[in-house]
Amino acid sequence: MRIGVTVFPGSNCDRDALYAVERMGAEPVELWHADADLKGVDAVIVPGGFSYGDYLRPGAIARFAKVMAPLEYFARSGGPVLGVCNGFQILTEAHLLPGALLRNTGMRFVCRRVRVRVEATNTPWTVLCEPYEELALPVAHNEGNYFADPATLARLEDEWRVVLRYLENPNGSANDIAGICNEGRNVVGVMPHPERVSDPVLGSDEGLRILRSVLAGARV
Amino acid sequence: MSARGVTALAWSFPLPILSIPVTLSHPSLEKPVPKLMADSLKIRILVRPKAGILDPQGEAVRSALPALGFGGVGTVHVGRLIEMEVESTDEVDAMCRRLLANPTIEEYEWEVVG
Amino acid sequence: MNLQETYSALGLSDFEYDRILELLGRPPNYLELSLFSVMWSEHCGYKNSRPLLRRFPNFGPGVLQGPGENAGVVEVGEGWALAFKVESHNHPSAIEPYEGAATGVGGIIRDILAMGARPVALLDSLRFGPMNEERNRYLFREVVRGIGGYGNAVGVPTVGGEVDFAPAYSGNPLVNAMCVGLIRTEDLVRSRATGVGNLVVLLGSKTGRDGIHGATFASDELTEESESRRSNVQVGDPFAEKMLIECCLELLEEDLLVSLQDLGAAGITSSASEMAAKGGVGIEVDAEKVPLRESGMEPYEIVISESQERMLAIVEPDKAERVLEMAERYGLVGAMIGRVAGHGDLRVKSGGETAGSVPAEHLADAPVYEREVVRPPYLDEVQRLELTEIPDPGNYNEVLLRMLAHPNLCSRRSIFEQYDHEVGADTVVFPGADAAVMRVKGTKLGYAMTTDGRGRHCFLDPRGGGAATVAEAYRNLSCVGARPLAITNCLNFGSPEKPEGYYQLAESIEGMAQACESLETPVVSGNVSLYNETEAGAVYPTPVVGMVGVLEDVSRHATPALKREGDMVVVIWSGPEMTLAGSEYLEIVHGKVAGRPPEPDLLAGKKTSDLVRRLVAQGLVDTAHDVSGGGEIVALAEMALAGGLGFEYDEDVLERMIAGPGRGRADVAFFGEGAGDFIVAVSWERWYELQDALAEAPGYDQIGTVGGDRFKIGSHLDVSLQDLREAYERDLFGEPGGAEVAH
Repeated sequence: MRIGVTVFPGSNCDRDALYAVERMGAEPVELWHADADLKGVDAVIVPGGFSYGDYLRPGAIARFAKVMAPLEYFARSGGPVLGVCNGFQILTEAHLLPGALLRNTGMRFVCRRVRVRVEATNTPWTVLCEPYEELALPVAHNEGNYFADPATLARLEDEWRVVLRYLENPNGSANDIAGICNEGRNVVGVMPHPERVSDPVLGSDEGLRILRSVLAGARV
Repeated sequence: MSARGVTALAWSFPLPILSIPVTLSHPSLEKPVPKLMADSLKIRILVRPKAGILDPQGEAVRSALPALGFGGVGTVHVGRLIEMEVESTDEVDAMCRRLLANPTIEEYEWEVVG
Repeated sequence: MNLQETYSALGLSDFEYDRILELLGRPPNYLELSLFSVMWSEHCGYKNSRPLLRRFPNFGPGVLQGPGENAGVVEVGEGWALAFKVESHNHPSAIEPYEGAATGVGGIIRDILAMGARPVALLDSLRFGPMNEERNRYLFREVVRGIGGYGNAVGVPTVGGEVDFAPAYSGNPLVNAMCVGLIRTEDLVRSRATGVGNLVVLLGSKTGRDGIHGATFASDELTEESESRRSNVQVGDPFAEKMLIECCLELLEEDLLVSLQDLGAAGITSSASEMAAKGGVGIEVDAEKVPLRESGMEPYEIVISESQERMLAIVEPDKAERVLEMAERYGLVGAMIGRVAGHGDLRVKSGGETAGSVPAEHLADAPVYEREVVRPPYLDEVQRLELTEIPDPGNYNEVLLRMLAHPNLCSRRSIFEQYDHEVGADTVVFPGADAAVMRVKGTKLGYAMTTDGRGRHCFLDPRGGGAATVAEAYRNLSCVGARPLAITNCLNFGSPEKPEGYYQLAESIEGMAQACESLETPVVSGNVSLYNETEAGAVYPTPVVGMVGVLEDVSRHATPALKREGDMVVVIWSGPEMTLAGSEYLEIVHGKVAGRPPEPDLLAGKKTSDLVRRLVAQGLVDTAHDVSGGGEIVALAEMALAGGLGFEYDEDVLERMIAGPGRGRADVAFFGEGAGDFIVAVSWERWYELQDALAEAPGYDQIGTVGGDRFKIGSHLDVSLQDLREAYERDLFGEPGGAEVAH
């Protein structure tokens, strides 16, 4: 399986994501922001970082990069896409996922490992997780406070589209939301970084359970 | 800053240069010419959190002001000010909707200021 | 303003101006004078410290690059090397803490990049005045935000560091940033300019008036024109830096560069003249070719501007186009601004005319001042300490909680959680341990790094403190299981023109040099920051040591956290006696900064440290911590807190410990420092193995066992872990009046 990792100016988890793709036993493919070409990959990871310096709003400028047009088409036609941290922010700015990510209520950047619960396993990125499995995943962000209007939040809950939920909310996120998916369930955005826990020498490889899910070829 | 403080300034990194070119030979100083586009309009766009959206920055400012002795402060909202020169204002709304503001969480207004 | 006032304002003395006249054989113009002022500054020319710095050993096995380049480089094995350096940004941080700290981080990253290494880790050594002053809280908060704001965005993890608070730093905070880079040994680049006819390419951001002080700003007449010319505080752009890192690394990978140098103090002039002097060539720069951010800039402004996020590269002419294309790919400015010349001068041109020309070797040849080292009288006074005048505090529960809650000893979590310490997916041991540990992908190798400074100790005894600083770094690396390799240092001192300041500088260097020799850790890079003074006086003499080490098998490392119920806790002695002199306890509980801590026994300390390292590297011990600030009981409490497990001290051993030599009272035994002891924990099953291994230790004691949810020190102290945690895990930014306001 070939998995693409988008690289925007200012992405800084792209190399980590490419490394994690290798760890999960797939072929990593770098997708440069200025090329409107997904190079025929089977899935795409939009990694974290500070694309375009997070200037204006996180993700606001990256969302108009050339690579986003084929990526949006891929996503809307059911291709598995995972946005991590800044990638999640980009996907909301691109309206591939609802809502927005606001400044953390604590007004600080927060980098720590947090416990999350897998709330939905019927997505291509969580199918290998046990229902309601608890994972310890790292977060590192300034704007991870998920916001959506009450109707959207209610819909997300009704349709079981909250994919990860914080057991200890680090940022004030609505309904303790750490990750959601789109209606088609193929596009998932999460604030925690599964790619950072993909190696036992780093203390944990729990993130691989999320990343490897896509190898199961799940289409829901 | 004390005299000793200034000494420290002269030696610690990065070294600031006091450029006082009066008696020494060096090219004359010309007044900088501001660059402006011909026939441009200067507009000012204000982007701020939509009413009811949690605004942790505004909240932090609100709670900091009394601590500094400023009383009687009600709600505070912190937004973003964007100034730009445009040839026409026709597309300013579209710019705001598509890029400068996120309609999910922000509202905007703009005015021509020159 | 007359001539003398002009060169004085540039920081040049009469003697130095005369020497410039002599070297040039004519009066310099303003641009040329600016070049000398910068290149002969302490920062670039080390004119006060050079003779003293010669004392440091610079070479040893594995040293690939010693001082004189942008960073030192040591080999770690399997073809990998570490480039590393620490640098101060004290004064800019005192003026504008957020940007001062941010640009400090940016600057040290570029030093590492200039060696061709990928920057992989940051550490920060910080000093502030006490937290009860609003200004100090503001500086602290903004410096931490600045470090995070830059480091997080640029994608280099901040994996360690230290912070201390003392009145001597009020108004003059110390902000020292260290960066470590990873590189294949064969890929090392140097900053030497070579090849007459090669091109000088400027990469990065556009050039503005950053860091240039306004022409008439210093005079009393403030006009609109002078206002428009006033200097800009340097503002960091981590986004541009991130692009610069990726661009330069790709240029090097494609073998498109001859040499590389970062632009720091004095911008193009200092970088170009250093590159020229090292290569024994000249460089011509055309100021008109430098892409500008502001209009109306003078040639001298352009060449001394300190705009951030720029690098200078020497490029062969036939590769220049590809270099510029690469810059464009990364959204950076790339411009051919000059060429390497055979004449040996640094020559600035503008409009086809020469605006200034100085032999590069003269710029690199700063005058040197040697001064007499005279012991200042204050030392006799502060070294006096009568133990009988220190009352026994009685309630040790209260004392421990008070110490753990003190800003100098409490948890640093509220700081390091604001730094991304995991980006890069290489961080094995996180902040909060004795040293940070990272892995080298694709190998079993790991490397560890730490920064340490002992300002109070150096104030009480500059030589002993200097040695103890290096020894402490050595101990910290040993605790995590790393073999120490080499150090970088940042010498933060007051004015060398005062006998007291010069004595502190000279003696601290002597102490550090002795320790570096004994411990076999050469100094491979460094930075000097003098004149750290305010009206209230000088800062504590604070040499900061950044040490790196290697782990042959990174999976075998240790952290301070207690890990298993029932583990045996063992103290390994180094030999020297513990003392309250200069201790945290004396300052926090008794408000005294006094006494003369005993000089560290470097060889005994090395032997014990090496033993602890072997225990960890053999996989026998995974829990280790050194006894440092706060003494043995604070160290044990830190271990209990990190692991979330209780501990009970064996009653008999405790009474023996209290009655031990030089002690005789509980507080000395509990909170005394300077003994160089280590604490390790091991499971029951491996206890005999550990005893065998400890046969070569100067001495050890099994002091207690891990378990429960209380921290119990015989009959003297009994506190719940919960109470310890409430004292220790405090939010350093949640102080009264310290509410956070967006920058």
